[in-house]
Amino acid sequence: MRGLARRAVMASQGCAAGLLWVLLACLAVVPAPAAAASPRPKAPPLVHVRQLNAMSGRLVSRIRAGTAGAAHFRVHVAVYQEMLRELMVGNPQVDRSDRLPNALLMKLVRMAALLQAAAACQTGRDIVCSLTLINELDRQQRRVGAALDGLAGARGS
Amino acid sequence: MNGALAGFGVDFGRTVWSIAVEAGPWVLLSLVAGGLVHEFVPSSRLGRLLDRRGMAGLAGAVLLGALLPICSCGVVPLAVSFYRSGLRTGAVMAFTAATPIINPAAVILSLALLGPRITAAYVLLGLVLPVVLGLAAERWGEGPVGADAGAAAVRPLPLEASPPDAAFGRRVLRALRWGMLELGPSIGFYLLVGVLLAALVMASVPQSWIAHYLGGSSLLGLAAVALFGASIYVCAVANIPVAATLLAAGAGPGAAIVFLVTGTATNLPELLALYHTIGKRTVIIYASALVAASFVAGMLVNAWLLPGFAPAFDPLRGLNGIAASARWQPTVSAALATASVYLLAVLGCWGGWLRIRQRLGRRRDADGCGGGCCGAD
Repeated sequence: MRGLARRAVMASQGCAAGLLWVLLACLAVVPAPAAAASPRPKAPPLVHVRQLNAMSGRLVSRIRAGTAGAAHFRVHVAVYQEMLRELMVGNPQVDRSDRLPNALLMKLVRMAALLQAAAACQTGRDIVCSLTLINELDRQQRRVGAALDGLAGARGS
Repeated sequence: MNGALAGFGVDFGRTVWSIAVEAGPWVLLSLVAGGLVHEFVPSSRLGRLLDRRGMAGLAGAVLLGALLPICSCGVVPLAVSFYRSGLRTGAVMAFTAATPIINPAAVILSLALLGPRITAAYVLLGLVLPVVLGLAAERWGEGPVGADAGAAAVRPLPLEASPPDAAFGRRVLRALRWGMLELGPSIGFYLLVGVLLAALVMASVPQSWIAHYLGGSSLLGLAAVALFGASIYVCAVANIPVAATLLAAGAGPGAAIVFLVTGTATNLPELLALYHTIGKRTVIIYASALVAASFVAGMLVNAWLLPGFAPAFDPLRGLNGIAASARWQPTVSAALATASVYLLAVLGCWGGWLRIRQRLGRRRDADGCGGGCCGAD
């Protein structure tokens, strides 16, 4: 009985391996869909910018409250930068009407730089930055928010 | 009223901690390096290079400083140990100014966020200003320690000079002892007092003033920025994004440069520590020359770039620059940063206790109890 079970398992493993090979071969033969060829973001870029803005807003308010755990904060800053990079790389490929203006991208890059400066504060468990940096983060957050609202208003979204 | 007071207290406490935790590891490292400098540099090639007469010594000090990623508080122990090792005052002050103003990470970040023209002005100023400050301090300040041995505030421990052929391990131990036990308490005390003063200034000055004065390009604004920048503690790498956002919000390029240079070059804790260890006249001349020279540099940059300056840069290249600069920036673990703050606080309190004991001893001597009369009672 035990030998039968072992043979069944081996057969299923062999079967699974075979299926995997067939699947790989199909993937190699079947042409890739057009959407995968260009890294076009699924949602409009403005939606991604709103997500980025919400993320930076949360990070800034945590710094202001003194509750930004250092390790957690640094991971989020890295994620923010990567999301922004992805957005910028994909920006020339979206429709001209949806494309983000350079001025807004520069504001986001400056926000990324300020967040990076905050993340680089040598600190204990929580991020503690100078008042000048915290206030500048606040001001930049407001600038990005205002630019975003202006753009959304202009595009009617 | 109570709410405002509580808010001020929170801002003050936060600023004290942020300065201490930012500078602490570097001050500690610099104390160790300072001990090694004191033990090994006078007889080394580096010592001979920095002690050369004329521009060669100053240029060597500036280049050495530009390669070290240390902030203005962290540079104090190294500068004091160079000074106490007998190096010329000009080279010591040039090194003190160049180290925090300019370093590779700051230049990369500046290029990414401020653009090539402001970065060129920043690098030029970062290399020329320390030479000017060094020359001014050497011309009008106190001489090297051999000429003015009374500059040391705390009585030095009776350490004898090691013979050059002493065992290497023994010399390293002597270096650490000198750095931590002699230099540590005196520097730690003045840095502690200076950090409290700087935090008081930073928490008291309304942030709207900073935005207001940095936001323009008037002469009064430039002077205010130079004075404010010289008193607060900011690291170059943290200062550049702030300058970039202010520049984008309408600040003049001159004001941005002045804030960048005076904010990073010096601060109250550094000035206080150098004032009591290197010499009063030297530090007054150093600070005044820094404010005046950066003010003039701000005016020159405004004349060069205004009107019509627009801080434009390629966003993707800017983001890549931020990442590249972060790779050049050394990071310190949270545990080490916190431990260094506590250790420096202990050294600072010990330095304070040494000063109190020294003053009490002097008072007893002045009251006629010296010479063993009290002991005889």
